[in-house]
Amino acid sequence: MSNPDAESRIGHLSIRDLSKSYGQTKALSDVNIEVQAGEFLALLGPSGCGKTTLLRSIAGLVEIDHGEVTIDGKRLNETPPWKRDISVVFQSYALFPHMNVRDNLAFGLRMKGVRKSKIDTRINDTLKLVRMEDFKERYPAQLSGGQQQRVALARAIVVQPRILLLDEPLAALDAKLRASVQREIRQLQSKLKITTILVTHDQSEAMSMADRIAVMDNGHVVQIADPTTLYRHPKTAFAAEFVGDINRLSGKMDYSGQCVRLADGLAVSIEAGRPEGPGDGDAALLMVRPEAVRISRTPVEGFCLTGVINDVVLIGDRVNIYATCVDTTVKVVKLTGSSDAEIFLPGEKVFLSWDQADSLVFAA
Amino acid sequence: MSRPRSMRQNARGYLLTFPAFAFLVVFFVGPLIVNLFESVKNEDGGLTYAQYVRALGDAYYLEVLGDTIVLSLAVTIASLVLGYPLAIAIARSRGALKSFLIFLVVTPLLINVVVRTFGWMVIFGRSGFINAILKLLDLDTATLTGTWTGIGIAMVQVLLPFMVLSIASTLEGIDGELEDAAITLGATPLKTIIHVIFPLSLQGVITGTLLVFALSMGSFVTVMLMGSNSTMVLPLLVYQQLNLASDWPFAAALGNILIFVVLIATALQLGLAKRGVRR
Ligand SMILES: Nc1ncnc2c1ncn2[C@@H]1O[C@H](COP(=O)(O)OP(=O)(O)OP(=O)(O)O)[C@@H](O)[C@H]1O
Ligand SMILES: [Mg+2]
Repeated sequence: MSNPDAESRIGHLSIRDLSKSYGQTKALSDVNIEVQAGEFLALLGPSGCGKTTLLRSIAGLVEIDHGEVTIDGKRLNETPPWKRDISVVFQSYALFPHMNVRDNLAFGLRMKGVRKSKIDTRINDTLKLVRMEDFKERYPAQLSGGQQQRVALARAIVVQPRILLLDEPLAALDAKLRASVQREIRQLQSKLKITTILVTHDQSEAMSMADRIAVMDNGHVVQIADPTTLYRHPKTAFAAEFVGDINRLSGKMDYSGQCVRLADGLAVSIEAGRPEGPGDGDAALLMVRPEAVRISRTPVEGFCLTGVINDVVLIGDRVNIYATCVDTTVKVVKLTGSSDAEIFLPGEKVFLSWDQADSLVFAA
Repeated sequence: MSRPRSMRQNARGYLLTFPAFAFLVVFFVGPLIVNLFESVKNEDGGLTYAQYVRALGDAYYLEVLGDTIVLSLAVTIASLVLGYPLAIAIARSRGALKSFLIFLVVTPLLINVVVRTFGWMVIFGRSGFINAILKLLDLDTATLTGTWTGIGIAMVQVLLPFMVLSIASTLEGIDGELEDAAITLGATPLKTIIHVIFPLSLQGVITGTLLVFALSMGSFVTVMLMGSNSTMVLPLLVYQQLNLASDWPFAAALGNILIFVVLIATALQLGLAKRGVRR
């Protein structure tokens, strides 16, 4: 492990037109994903959107209805899961309760026919990597949740898999521990350069850990992009709302004015040319991130919404300001103490505006 | 703080077990004690272990005891080997299929022992089903009635449900992801069963083997109906001593020897269990 051989560096995974149904439920519809060798991809989506099913399809644990899974160009559909060299860390950790930590790690090595003389060193090196070398003799029931998590990770990587799949491995940990384990897994992954897919429904986890994020909704992959692109240029309203906080205002598309007309008639002009947006006159969703909204007591030039402050919440380093405009509540986030975060009081009349480029428009 | 209350609740809990406890004392422990006294009673009211000397000093009785143990072991092993895959099938199936499989396994228990044994005699008999087929195939005919093999088969049929249901219930408690973990780590399905599923189902295997062994050690109706002169088991001997020879003290002694063997076997298996099932 200290010196991963060149072989473990490969592992380009592609998933093509993958579909899977459980009876009437379409768990996956035409999923296409490319994961580069050594890349860390997060699968992000709400509960029941098919993340686990996709992971299990890649590992060969469920039979797929249609499509293809290949690693380094080699088709895997006919390869049984025990020959795929794909390790999985399950949400329940699935440590073998009748084996101690050492035997849990040795299991995969023995099954893969690693020579006896090498088994011990590989176990020791890997346990050192996850800082569990003092727990070799313990049984899973004698470990804390975080320790079990690390052993599960160690058991998955000790076999030097081509692909590492993690199914919400941190869901059972408390918030503080989760943050540190997130960093550890990320560091470990970039050190070992194992192609990794992490399933999560926690957008901040996906953003902080992954090179790229695939957003899933109802069996479909909605968008695959790096965290920044996903945050700045979400392709659908679903992706925009799932990744980070966002305000939504409903209105009508008006291409002759190149704007969205809100319910009260106010025109919010938008950037030119939006092929994927709604048609002329259609209902449209105008979205804007809370931190992009400017707030002031006096009207500013160009368009601006008038609103009434209904709540101001101080959260440590930032202030959340909620203002009622038109028919919705708009959230504004400012850094505490920054020039435009002067303290507003509930009931005050304010003016809200933002840059044209910060408007995201989708079909309603 | 809540101590007195919980103690009172405990007392009430124990109180609720009283009917079952009383029942066991009167109908189980009582007869055992009576049996013990009966076996060591002298004609003139004194104590003697003569009956035990008679039982254990005689080559015939020792052979019967040996045969009984061997038959019970064979039935237990056969039930385990046949029952384990069935238990896996039951644990994995869902819904209607599961109910059907369970029903299939327990049907032998729903049929009266005499009827069931006669069924086997029809199948095993000289002109029975098996021989009819052997004849059709132009093979030598054989009869299993009156042989240890025939008796063993008939006993496995009725004792199998105890094995299967004990094992299936522990298999159902095993997290399915353990199996997935083993498979993704490179274990074939067979190796997964050997290294992961079987060790985790030991508790059920032990319960099942104990039940089947104890029940075969005590069963005599099948042997009585299907057996011949050359197939004798200890419980049948006890029955004969009681009903034909009316030798109560000797019957009691033989019965106690039987109980003793079962207790030893139980202790041995529970000892194994403690070493095998570590948490
Ligand atoms: N074995 C199964 N039989 C029938 N339906 C299933 C089965 N497994 C999953 N499904 C269905 O397929 C869909 C996708 O499930 P999946 O477990 O992949 O979701 P998920 O994204 O992992 O959700 P979560 O975040 O809650 O784990 C769901 O509608 C689920 O009910
Ligand atoms: Mg899931």
